[in-house]
Amino acid sequence: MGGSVSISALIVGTALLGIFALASLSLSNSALSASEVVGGATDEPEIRLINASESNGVIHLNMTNVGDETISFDQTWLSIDGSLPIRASDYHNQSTILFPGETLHIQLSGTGITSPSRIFVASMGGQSGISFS
Amino acid sequence: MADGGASELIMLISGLMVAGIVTTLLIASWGGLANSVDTVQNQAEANSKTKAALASDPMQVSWDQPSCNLSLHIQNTGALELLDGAIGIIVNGTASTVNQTRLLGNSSVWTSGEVVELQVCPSGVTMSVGQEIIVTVVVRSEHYQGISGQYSFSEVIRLV
Repeated sequence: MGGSVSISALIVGTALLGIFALASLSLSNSALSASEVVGGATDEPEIRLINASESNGVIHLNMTNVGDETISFDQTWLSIDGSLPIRASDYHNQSTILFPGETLHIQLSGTGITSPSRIFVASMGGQSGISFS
Repeated sequence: MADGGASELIMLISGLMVAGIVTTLLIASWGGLANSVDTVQNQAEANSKTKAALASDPMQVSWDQPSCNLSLHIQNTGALELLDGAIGIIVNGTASTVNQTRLLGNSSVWTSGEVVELQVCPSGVTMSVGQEIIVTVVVRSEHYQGISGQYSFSEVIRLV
């Protein structure tokens, strides 16, 4: 009888240990997923306007991607003198992406703005502004 | 010997019953804990995918005192679609009314990268051209795994 008690206790103990192990594994997986969520947050792009000028209604702009993220002109919005933001890709279709470290000369035509004084760019949290020269 | 066997049997059954009850309680409490962790994790995930930023030039934000109209442009910089009917604006600490929203660029939904124009009225606040004010924007995403993400940011803007 004593032997059966010991065996039963062993079975119960093993079962409890198994349950705790499964529960710990579940919690560990949840913590891992949570840390992946935090680690997966994307960084904001860093964009810099180098210079801007206007000639005969065409705006010439040099901009550099000084960050580590690629910048899409579809998600880049320009505001001239505080006006309604315009999507960069609607006025510039020579390239669609500004890669990290790349500087591009961009021509914007058809904006209808003459003699502007300042231009501001916003792209997925990255911002830059400059006065026209 | 027979008495000893009976008492050991009673102890065995009692032990098994206690172990069973403890196990049930542990499983139930652990299940609740796991659900809580899942909910918090989903909320954190939804929040991390919900972001927005100012697309207006903060140096030149249009303000019209007589018509109580502050024009702001907000870009969805997160991964989830945002709800343009669930935007909160606080101007210099005063909760403001969003009178009108409009998506720019022929968009029909406020997905990542798209910009919405807001016409905001900070009721009871007197501001003048050239003044620099703090605007706080609160946005909410569509449901992600049954939970809506939230994000807020503040910017200093100059009125023109």
